[in-house]
Amino acid sequence: MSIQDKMTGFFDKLAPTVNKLGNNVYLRAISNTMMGTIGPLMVGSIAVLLLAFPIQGVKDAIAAIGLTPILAAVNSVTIGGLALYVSFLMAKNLVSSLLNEDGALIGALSLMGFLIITPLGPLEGGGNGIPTQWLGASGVFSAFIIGIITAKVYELFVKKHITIKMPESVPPVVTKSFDSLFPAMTLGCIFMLIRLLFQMTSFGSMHQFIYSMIQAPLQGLGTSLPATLVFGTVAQLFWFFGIHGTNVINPLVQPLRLALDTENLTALAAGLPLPNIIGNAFWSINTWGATTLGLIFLMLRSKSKQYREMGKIALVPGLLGITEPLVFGLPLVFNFDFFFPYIFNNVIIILLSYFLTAIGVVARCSGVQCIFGLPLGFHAMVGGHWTIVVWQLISQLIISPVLWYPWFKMAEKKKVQEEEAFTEAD
Amino acid sequence: MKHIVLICAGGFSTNILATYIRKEMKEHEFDGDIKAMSEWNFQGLRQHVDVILLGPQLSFMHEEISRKYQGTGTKVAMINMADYGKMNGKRVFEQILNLLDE
Repeated sequence: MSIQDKMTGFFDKLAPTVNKLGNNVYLRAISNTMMGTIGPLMVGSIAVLLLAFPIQGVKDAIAAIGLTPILAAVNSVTIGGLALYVSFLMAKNLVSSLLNEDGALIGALSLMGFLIITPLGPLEGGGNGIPTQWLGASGVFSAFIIGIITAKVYELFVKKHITIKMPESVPPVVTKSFDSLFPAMTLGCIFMLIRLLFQMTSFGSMHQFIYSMIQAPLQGLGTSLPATLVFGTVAQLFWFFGIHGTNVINPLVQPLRLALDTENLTALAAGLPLPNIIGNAFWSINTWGATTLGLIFLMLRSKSKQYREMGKIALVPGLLGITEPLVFGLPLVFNFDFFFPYIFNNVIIILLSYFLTAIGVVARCSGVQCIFGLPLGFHAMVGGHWTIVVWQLISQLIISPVLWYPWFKMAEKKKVQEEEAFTEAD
Repeated sequence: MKHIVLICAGGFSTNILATYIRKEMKEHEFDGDIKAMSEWNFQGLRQHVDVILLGPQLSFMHEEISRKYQGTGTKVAMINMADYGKMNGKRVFEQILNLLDE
């Protein structure tokens, strides 16, 4: 049995697990929730970019018309309010996949739960305020958990038909309205109880507890360079076997990476140095199109007719970061000729990018999220620095073809021989 | 009027394929429309659909979506890998016709 057969056999055994992972309702809800926050995040990102505009004259003009405090406020309720959106969307998405209903009302209950748990405090100038400390990235895990609790409690009510028994003389309309309020009241009590219990501990709040015990350790572990390389390899392995690896891996790491990006954005808005190298934007910019563009370029000038044709089909999508034509058309899926470059080119580029960023040749990413489908180069502009754009161009236009070249030459030779044999047989 | 939906992860590559299929539909005067969407947008879809085709990268969702539409008359199928990669609108259009004939 060859290594290739062994690998394929191994993956066949693994496939049900991968399917389960890809179909897991919680992971899918997390992934969809992160996608749902893109709107507020983009608005916030624009506010931050204007606040930290690199040209002093523009900055002064923004300040002169009184826009600076408004931009800062927008930043606080978008990027700084990420957990609020997450708490709503998580419960909504989970209810819609668990029970196949809209779930918006349950999203509202989850938001209520999140706010009940967030300690309200007196303001110095009088009145009360919600501290923004937990509304941003540091409250995101807490928001996920509150969303899950809310959705599961609601599911329990629906599936077990838990209702309040009313005397028969009570009109059905009244009973019905009580039924719908019952989950809300129960959830209110649950969250009040949670708040009370955490107040008695040294953590002070559930947010603090979840942040210190779960989010901070996971963030440190899941976004380290070795972990990023491992996730990068695993995602590509999935792709090799024809599965959208990025989609399977994302729910596990995207919330962690996004939290790091929002830390960078917050620092940028405050005029401080950016704390993180790795984040979601760093990942998207440097693994652009799974580094396959180089192969497309090589194929365009190939001696093999089939490769040239494929290169033509794949070029335009490829320049927009869409790899499917190449992945399924060449194909790269199950193609052991290209196994090594397809799996490891991403990792090589990530390593180079990390190194260049660490020594300061390439700037750290601002944390603004990339827009998928923008052409090469433009895609990297959200990084907020020209060195990031230049690096994306160099890595995709020069390094990527070089990394593919030896494997391409070997595969091309085989292909040309096949094509010659084919014409002779004609 | 038949409604066809193509799904992939982000709705990008299916969008390219849909353009080719639309050309075929026009040529054959097919009475129907075709939409490409992301898996996420698909979840919020509340409209009746006659055929749902999944991009090969979403093979892991095939079973779940098939189960969801069992007995509703909606056909759920995967797009062949090579047809998908070569953006072969003609072949996928034939697949749609076959599914509708079943």
